[in-house]
Amino acid sequence: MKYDFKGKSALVIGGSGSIGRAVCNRFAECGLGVTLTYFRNKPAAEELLGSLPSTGRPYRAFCLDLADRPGLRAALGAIVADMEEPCAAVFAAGHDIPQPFVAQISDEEWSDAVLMEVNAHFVFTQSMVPILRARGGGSLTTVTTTATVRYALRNVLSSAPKAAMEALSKAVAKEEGRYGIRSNCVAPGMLASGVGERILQRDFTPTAVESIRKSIPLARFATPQDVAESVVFLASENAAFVSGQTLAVDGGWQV
Amino acid sequence: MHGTERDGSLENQVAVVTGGGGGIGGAICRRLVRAGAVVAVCDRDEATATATAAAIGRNAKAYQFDIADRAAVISNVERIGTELGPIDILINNAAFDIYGRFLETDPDRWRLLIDINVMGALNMHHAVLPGMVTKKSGSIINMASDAARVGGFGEAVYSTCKSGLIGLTKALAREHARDGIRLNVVCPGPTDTPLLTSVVSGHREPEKLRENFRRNIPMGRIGVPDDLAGIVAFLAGAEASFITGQVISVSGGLTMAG
Repeated sequence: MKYDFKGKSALVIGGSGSIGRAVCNRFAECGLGVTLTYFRNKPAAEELLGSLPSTGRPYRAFCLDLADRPGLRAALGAIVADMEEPCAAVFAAGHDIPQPFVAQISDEEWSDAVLMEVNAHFVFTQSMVPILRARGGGSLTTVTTTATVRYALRNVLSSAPKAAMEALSKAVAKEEGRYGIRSNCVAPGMLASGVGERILQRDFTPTAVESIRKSIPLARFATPQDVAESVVFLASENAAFVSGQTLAVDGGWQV
Repeated sequence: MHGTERDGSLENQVAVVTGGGGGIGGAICRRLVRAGAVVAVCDRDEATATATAAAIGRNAKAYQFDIADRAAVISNVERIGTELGPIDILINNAAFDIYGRFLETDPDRWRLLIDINVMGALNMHHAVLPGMVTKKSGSIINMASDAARVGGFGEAVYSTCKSGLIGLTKALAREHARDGIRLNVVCPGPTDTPLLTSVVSGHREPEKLRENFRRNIPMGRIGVPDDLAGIVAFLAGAEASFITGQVISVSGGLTMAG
């Protein structure tokens, strides 16, 4: 599919992860300038910047601590102020989420998940709204999980915060639609790369991994590319009237 | 609306679009051809099918048949296969509605709506799927309606039919995933088409109803046929190769189901 993003740029929160990386790459291929944020993995972010296709558009990477409650808003503001014609912002940050049963979760683990995901996503969303309004509109896309619709055992530290993020995404779609802002979510199933790969290797036996794979109608795990294609589609003019939606990219698992 | 540059993402794919002579159907046909597909523009109204195909020119061919007529579906799907090649993409877009409160309708009207909206879709799937199973690939997109997700006032039977179409899509997404066939649903919200005009004109105050639709849409406008074409082309192609069994609304934020 061909996209027309003439002269515009995109912000990708969590650009150094496997999904964020694929999203940055796809945006760059479509001719957008890309500003990405990372937290710990500076070498990965720098390597990614160097590997994006040369189009003459600017690529930038900034360190951003999503858990830094007092500093996050100002840091995000400074990052976005530096962008040329921002038309799309993507929240694709994902940390290595433990996979406990509900009964095993400590208060601290729960608060961490809420702080890193729900709070950071709120500050991100609220920071982007005036910027996109001032431009006459734009697109916000949040990467969530298919587990908000069909629960995956031991996944609540991901699914509960992501459900809150989906609710916020819909709120913005409804409240800001009149200003031309669209807001959508992409909900991947289990990935076998990045954080997903670490979780599969650490928390599941090979037999269990195989049985998860078989439970997916299309019989494979999601790839970062699968997710990136949907994110870029939703950011594009091809989706000009699509707002408040969640698109599951899970091989039919949630059906 | 979104440029006319040729796209190529569906190069040489054969697509069948029912209701291709209508507002949304025509926009879908034009978009698929722009993406490189060869399109069978199917409609029970020969004049609109022919006009749509002729306006597109090369890579579009009109087929006149009624999807509620099983024998006609079977023979036309066979003809399309012979004339255009094995079918890669099926867009079940044909639909029919008459606005009216349920208690003011009768079984004859129910049957009319069920014949086109449900039996028509069953006929098309039953005729097209075997070829896709043989090829081990295919993408089917069913155009349902937000009426299926949230209920449409004055559209009880239509909502029933379109909910049925969503159920059918999910069941077949399961049955045929291992055959490499993906099925998804697109739900248009209020869209400026002859169908909307006919639905609205059944209302006591048509302009008030139309304005009411508009005011309730967060993006502040009623949809246009081109709004649907982008997502259909996306779901039809390789970019959506891991998306199946999904329902997505194109309604400017009017409905946010799920």
